[in-house]
Amino acid sequence: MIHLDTAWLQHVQKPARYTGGEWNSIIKDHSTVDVTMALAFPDVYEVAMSHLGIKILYGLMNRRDDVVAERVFAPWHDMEEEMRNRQIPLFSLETKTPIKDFDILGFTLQYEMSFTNILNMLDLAGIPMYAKDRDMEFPLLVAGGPCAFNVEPLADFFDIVSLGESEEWGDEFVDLFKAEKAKGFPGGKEAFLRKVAQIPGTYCPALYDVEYTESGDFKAIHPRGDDVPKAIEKRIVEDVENVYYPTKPVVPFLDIVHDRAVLELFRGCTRGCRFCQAGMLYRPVRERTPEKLLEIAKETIANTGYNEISLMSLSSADYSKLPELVDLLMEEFKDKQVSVSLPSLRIDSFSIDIAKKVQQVRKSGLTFAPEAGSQRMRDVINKGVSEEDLLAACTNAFKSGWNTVKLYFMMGLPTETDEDLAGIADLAYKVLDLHRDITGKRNGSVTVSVSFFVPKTHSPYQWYGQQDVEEIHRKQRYLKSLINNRNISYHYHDGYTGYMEAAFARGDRRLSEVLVEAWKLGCKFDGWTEYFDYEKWLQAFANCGLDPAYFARRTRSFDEPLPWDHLDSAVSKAFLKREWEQAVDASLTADCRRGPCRGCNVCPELDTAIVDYEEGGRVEKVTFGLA
Amino acid sequence: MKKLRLALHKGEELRFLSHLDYAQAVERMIRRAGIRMAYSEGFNPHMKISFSSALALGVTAAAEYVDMDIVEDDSVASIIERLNRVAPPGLEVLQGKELPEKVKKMMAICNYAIYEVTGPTTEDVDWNELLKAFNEASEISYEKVTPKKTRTIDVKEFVKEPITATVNDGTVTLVMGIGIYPQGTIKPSEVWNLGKDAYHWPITSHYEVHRRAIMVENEEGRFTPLEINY
Repeated sequence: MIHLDTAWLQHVQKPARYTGGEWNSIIKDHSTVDVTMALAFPDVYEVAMSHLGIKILYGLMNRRDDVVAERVFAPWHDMEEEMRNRQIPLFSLETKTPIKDFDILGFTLQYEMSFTNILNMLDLAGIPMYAKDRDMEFPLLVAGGPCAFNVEPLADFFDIVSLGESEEWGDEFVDLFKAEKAKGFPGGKEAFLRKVAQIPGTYCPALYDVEYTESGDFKAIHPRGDDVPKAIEKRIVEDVENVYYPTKPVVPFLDIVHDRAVLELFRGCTRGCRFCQAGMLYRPVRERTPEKLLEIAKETIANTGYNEISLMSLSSADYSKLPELVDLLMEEFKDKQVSVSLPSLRIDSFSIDIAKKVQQVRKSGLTFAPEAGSQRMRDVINKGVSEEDLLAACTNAFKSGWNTVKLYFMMGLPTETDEDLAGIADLAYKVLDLHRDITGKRNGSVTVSVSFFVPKTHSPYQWYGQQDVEEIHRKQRYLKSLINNRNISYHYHDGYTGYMEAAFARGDRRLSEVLVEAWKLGCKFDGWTEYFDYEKWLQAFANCGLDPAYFARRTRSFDEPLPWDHLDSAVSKAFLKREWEQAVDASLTADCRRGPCRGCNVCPELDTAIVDYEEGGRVEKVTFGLA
Repeated sequence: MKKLRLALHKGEELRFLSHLDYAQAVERMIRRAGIRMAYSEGFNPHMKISFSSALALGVTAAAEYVDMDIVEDDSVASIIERLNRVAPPGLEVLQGKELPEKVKKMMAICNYAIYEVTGPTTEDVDWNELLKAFNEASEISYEKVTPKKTRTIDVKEFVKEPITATVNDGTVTLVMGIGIYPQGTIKPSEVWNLGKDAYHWPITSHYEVHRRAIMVENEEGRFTPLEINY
C-alpha cells in the first residue's frame, strides 16, 4: 500500500482525484479474493468518472466475492511530476495498491488521442509496454471499448481485447482466469492466451502474424494455429432488460464532467447516419421497459443522493416509451427535488415537448446536431433531417421561452462543396431570424460548432480518405467569412488533432512504434488542446519512417484488405459498401427499427432481434445480410 | 419546519475536499438519508443549509457545524442516526440540537478558531523560549498575498493569545487561536510560514492543519455553536 504524504499532496491540484474513499467505492481485502483487477481509464479523474462503462464493469466485477476491481486513472501533469520525483508507482484509488501487483489491468479505449496516456500509465506503473516483454508475473493487459474494433495500433501492447459488450464476456473471462491461476498457468502466457481466445469475442493480438506487401501495404493477418479464430465477432447482451446494471455507482466528491445519475434507456441506434461508427458498432436496438428503468432510477437516486438523472443512449429521444417514462420519473421524483435531463435532443417538435416537460430551468440552451448545412449533404450522410424539422423544433423552443440554440456540424464530409458549407451559415441566420420573428426580440443567440470529420472503421466511410488539413483550414476561414453577426458565435478546432486521430483510427500495427516514439517525445493528454503538440507527432512518424497521410488521407479501394477486417462488428462489408454508394448518390436508407430489414446482417449473424416496446418487445421479422 | 444545528466531523479521509466539495458531500448524505428538507423557491431550488465556516482544502476539523431546515418531524437523535448510516468514511455527525426558527447565519457569528499545525522539526529547541518573540510582540506586520492583491496586515490583530508548542518524536504541533473578523483573518499555514521565515522556528514547509474548534466569542466568553441559541 502506497502512502501519500499530506505535506506535498495538499499542494497538487485537486488531490481528491487520487485519494478515493468516495461513497459506494468498494474496499476488499485482496487476500480474500481469487482475482484482482484494476480498471483503468486513460484520462483524468473528472473525465474517467463520467464514463458509464467503467461504472458497469466496476459493479459487475465487484458483485463477485472472488474478485476485487479497483479504479485507476491518468494522474494530472503536476501529480505525475510528484510521483516521478518521489518514485511512487501508479496505484489504485481504493487500496492504494501498486497497479503492477494486480492480476489484470483493463483499459477502456474511448478515443484515439488518449492512447499515449495508456503508455504513460504503464510506464508510471513500472509495467513493460510491449506485451512480449511481460510474463504472467505482470498484470494481463486487457482492452475494450469502441476503439477495440481497431486495436491494431495498440496490438503490440495488449494481451487480450474484448469486442463488444462485456457483461457476459467479463464473467466468462474471469472464471477462466481464476481456474488457470489456481493451476499455476500451465504452459505460461501463450498457453493461457490460446485458451482465452476460445471465448467468443476475444482477440489476442499476439496469436496473429501480420503480412505486408512488398510496397508496404497491409496484406493479411494470419492466426498462429488452427485453434485461433480467423475473425472475431463482437459480443452483445441479448437481454438488456435483465442484464446487470450499476445502481450503486461511486459518488465522486469532486465536480466531474457528468455529475449525475445515469439511466441507460437502450443500446444501439439504427438511424444509420453514415459517418457514425457507434451506430454501426452497437446494433441492434435493444430497449429496456419503462418499469425497469423506473426501478433502476429509484434505486440509483436512493443509493447515491444525486439530484439529477440523465436519460442516456445513442439517441435518447428515439426511446419508444419516452413520454411514458418521463411521466413515471416526474411523478416519482416531483417531491424529491430530483430533475430529469436529456443530454441530446432529436431535431423535431416532439423532442422540445419532452424537454419542456423535464426542464424547469429555462436559461440553459438547447443543442441540436444537423451535422451538415445543406439538404444534399445531410442526405449524403443519411441524417434524415430537413430544414423544416430544424425550424419546427426551434419554433417550438422559442415560443416556449428558449433564446439560445447550439448547432453542431461537421466539415470535411465526402462530396462536400463550399456551397454545402455556406448552408451552415445560412441555417444559423435562419434560426436567428426565426427567433426575432417569433419573440420580437433581438436577444436570441446561435452557437455554431463545427468539427473536422474523422472517417472511422466499420462505418460506410471506412474507405474514404480524410480531407487535407490545409483544405479544412481554408474551409474554416471561408465559413468564418460568411458569419458576421454578433448573435452568432462560431467555434472550430485546429485540424491537426483530427488528422492524427484519423491516422490512428485506421492505423495498423506499425503505429505501435509511432505511439512509443510520440510518448518518448513527451506526448500525453493529446485530446486536451493545450497539450497537443503537432510537431512532436510529425517527428514521431518521421522517426519511424511512416507518413500519417498514408493512414489518414488515402482512399482505400473496396477490394483492398483492411487491417481491421478480422475484428467483426457483424455488419457486413457489402452493406457498408452499398451505404457508401448510396451516400455518393445522396440517397437515403431508412431506419430498420419500424420498417423492413435493410440488410446490415447484424440480426441474422448474431441470431438476435430488435427489442422495441412500441412494437411489443422483441421484433420478429425477416432479416438478412447483404453479401 | 424545524431548524437543526449539527456538529460534523471532517476526518482524514476528507482532508482534500474543498469547502464546496464538502458541502456537496453533506447534501448528498442528507438526500441518501431521505431527510425531507426545506428548499429555496425559484427555478433552481437549493437545500436550506448553511455552514459555520468555509473549511479549506487540506484542513481536517474536529467539528464543523451545519444549520439545516427540515420539514419532517423526527427527533434529533434519530436524524443523526439516519445520517450516520449513509455518511462516507471521514464524515460523522457527532451531536446536534433543535434551534429557534430564526437564527443568525453561523458564518457571521463564528469569529474564533483554534488550529493545530503539525510538521517535522529540524532541531531540538526550547519552544517556550523560542515562541516568546512572537507571543510577546505587540505588532507583527505581514504581507498577505492573495491572487488579487497584496496587503500588509498586523498578525497580532488576529492571533492575540500565545501560540503553544508540543513536541513529539521529531515533530512539533503548534496550537494557535485565530480571530475571524469582518476585516479579515490569517490562515494557520501563513502563521506557520511566518514563524519559519521571520522567527527562525526550526520547521519546514511540510505541515498538516487540523482545526480543533470553531467558536463564537462574545462578552461572556467563547462558546461552540451548540452552546448558544442564536
